[in-house]
Amino acid sequence: MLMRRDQVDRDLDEEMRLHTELVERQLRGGGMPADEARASARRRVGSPLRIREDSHDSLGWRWLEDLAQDLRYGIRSLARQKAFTATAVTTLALGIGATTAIFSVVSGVVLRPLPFPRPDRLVQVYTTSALSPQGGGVGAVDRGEFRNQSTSFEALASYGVSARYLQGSDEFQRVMTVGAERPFFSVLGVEPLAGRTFRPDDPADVAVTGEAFWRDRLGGDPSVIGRLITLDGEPFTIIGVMPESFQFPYGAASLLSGVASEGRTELWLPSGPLGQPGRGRPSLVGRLKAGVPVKAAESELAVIAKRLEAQSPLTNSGLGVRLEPLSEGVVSPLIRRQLFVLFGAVGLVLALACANVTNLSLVRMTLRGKEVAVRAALGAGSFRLVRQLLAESLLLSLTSGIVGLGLTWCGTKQLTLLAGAQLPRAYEVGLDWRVFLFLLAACVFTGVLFGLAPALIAMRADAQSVLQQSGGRSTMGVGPRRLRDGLVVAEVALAFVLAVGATLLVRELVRLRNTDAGMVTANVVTFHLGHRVTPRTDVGQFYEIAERVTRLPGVRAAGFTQMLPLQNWGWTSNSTDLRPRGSPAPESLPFPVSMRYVTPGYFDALGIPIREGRAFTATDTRDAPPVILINEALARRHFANDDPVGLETNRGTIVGIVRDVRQVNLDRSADPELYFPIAQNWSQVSELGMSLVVRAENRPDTLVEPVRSVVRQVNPSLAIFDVKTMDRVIADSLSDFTLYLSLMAAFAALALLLASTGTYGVISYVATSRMREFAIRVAMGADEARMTRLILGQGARLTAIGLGCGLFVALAATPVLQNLPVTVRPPDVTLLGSVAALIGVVGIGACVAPAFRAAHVDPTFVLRNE
Amino acid sequence: MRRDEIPPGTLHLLILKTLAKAGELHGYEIAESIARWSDGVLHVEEGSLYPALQRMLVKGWVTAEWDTTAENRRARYYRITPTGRKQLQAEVSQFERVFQAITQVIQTA
Repeated sequence: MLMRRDQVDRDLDEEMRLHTELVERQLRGGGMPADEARASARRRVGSPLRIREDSHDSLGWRWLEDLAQDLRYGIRSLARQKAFTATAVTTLALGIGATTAIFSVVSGVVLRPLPFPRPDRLVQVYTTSALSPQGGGVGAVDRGEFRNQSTSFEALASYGVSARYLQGSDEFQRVMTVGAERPFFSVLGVEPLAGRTFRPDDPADVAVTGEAFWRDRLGGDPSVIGRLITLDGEPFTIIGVMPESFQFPYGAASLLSGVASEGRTELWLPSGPLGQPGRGRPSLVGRLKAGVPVKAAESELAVIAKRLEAQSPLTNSGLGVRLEPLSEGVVSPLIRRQLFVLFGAVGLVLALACANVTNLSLVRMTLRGKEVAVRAALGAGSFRLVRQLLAESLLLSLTSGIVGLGLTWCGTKQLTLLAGAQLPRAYEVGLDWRVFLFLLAACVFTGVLFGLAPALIAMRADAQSVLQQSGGRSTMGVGPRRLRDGLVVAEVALAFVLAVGATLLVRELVRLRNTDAGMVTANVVTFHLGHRVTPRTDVGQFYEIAERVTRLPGVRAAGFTQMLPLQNWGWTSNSTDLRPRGSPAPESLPFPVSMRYVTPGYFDALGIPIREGRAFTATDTRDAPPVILINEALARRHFANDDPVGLETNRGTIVGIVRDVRQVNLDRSADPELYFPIAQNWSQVSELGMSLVVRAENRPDTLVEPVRSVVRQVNPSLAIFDVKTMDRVIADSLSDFTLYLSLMAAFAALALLLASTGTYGVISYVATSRMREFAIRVAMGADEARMTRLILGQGARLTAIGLGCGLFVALAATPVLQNLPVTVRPPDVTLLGSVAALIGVVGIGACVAPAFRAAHVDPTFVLRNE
Repeated sequence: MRRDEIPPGTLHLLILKTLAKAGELHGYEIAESIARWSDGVLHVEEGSLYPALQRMLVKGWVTAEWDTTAENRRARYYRITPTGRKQLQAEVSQFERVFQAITQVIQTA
């Protein structure tokens, strides 16, 4: 095609030459002198270049030619101004990269449909009651009735998470397993990587493994199908391997949070023997028949639930049903909102980056005013000029996008690593086409955004007036000046908003860190012990371990509990059991009561004071009368004015009141709680693991090995895992908030940096372009202080207006805080004041250097060089 | 002599008609013929003539071939194609319709 174009151009040139000659001859024939005829003919025919361009235009080549030219010019001019290009690319790459990284998380977790066929037909089914209006798992009887009577579902399958102990060659490893009803895999519609999934007639001793488990613990053996593994002393045959992308139920770990340290499900086992419903109230997932809306299925199940309530009002009182699309069940609206707030924050950073680059290119545009004017004078159309400038800014933003992609890649990887255990679907986050599309859109959008303003100003510029200006100096017109000042104001405002947000979060973190959780955590180390591995394990062993550990040198106290505080986990009962023994159930509505099982040393080990009565002792054995302790919250709530100590209840005699401990999380005050001695409740406790809490004199880390060896001596088949100091346990309970906070703080810091460089850039440009004026002022006798005030005043004015706008936005945005992982109190005057002061100092600080330069201007030098 | 601009949209019509009447012409001759046959009233700008010829080449209304003039100069000669004749007819009837309408408007005024 280029060959052809050259041919066409040559032909056209020859034609034009002939034409000009003929015109010239004609004019000479009319009596015109030769040289005059030639000039006249040339004038009449016009510029061969113009005709050539018009011909290209008529052939439809113009567009392509112009584009290539625009890009060529763009590259040349960007390469010439290295400082500008580097600054702009860095700024934009940071903004685009950070925004895209957060978007990749939003996309993978929220936007992308669940990785199952027809995910819109998958629903989570909950049964609700007066005590749990949000609903929970569905018991076997209800499940059976739903299955028999409902016509809305293709299939329903329950599943529950539990930790099991895998027998290795020399030790026991804890694995996260999901016990699922046999239709589980077909409800979700997933295929295994190898082997097969459950069949309706599978016995209970088969297992499907996850890819990671297969790779890491089974050596990635391709012939693994048919192999036996031993879980809790029972053999299971491996029948299939699920691909890594299959992680349902998501965050198996977070369902048992604190017990698990990793987020992956490792094994899926059939729940219970064939033909027998499993125990407990597992979660229930169902696949709707095609065309059945969620609401319709919900009302159908509600009718069935009403019937069940009528049949057995005692067990099913207040039974209700709630259905939720599985996508919402997996990623709760709260998590969605948190991600969107984060995305909004990083979007503000990108906006700041854009504002900065717009300012840079405005200044650059002013300096290039002459170049643009010359082009316009030579006949470049205004459309063409705008297009060329836009091509330049797009070139810049796309380059930044490529650099930013590197940032995105690292950022996304880090984020999924950090958030993997807390964020559902984190393993699905990756750089897919959505992310690339977003990146491209972000590039184009920012490119147009910061390219358009300077381009439009350039288009409006009057070539003559620019060219007539005396050489070298150029100042901005009123329009660009307003835009520039407006951008600084907006930057200060946005930085203020982000800084207020980050400061609020830091304040909450400090508050939570300083919250009195009701226990003393210094020098405390905790161990998890799994004991399902052996039926020989008995309660006496735990008392023995606790007692022997207490006698170790350097140990002050030791005790077991199920489970540790701040794990957001526990058994729950309700207050009806607390009535005096023999009395009828009270009329008043019961409230939930958490239950904790401990050995006597636990309260000493965690420094939890006994407020009244006594703690448990070694004499509270299985044969002794049952005793319980209650916490202050329960005492307040249930026994307002009476002294409950000594009261005999259905649960045992209340022997004491212990101090409130924040068990759920640091942000939530203590729930009403009951403590039981493990010895008297062994059958209740023996299902799950136990945590050992050890308080040391000092250096708790030196106790880890001695404690391990005590445990091994007492019962070598107990698995020990998750050894952590109690301070670490507390820090971990805040880890999702800490991660959130660090991201917000990083964005705020970035925003502050951008805003300060933006202010610096503008003020320093203003100072430079007014140097001549300053020189005259100094020559007329203005002193340094006055000059400094002049420049600083301008910076201070812009910063102050920005702070005013920022204050307004920050106050308007306060409701957003309700979406964050912890309670965040709205900003108060002190906080707003100190953030404003910080930004004020940074903003004015950015003007110090330009002010100094202006104040020390040498009038003779400047004026002579004009 | 006063020269009038060619009404917009009629340049193709004039070029096609000229070629249909004269057979084979190069660019200068086309411009000259239009001027002569309009008694010097219509003058084709060189700046529009050649781009128009390029466009018509692309559309297939005319063909072009290099040849030599009587004075042995190389020149590109244009000739109307059957498609060009059809286009000419269409443009002539459209022009007549519009022209008649304009005349009517002017006369009734």
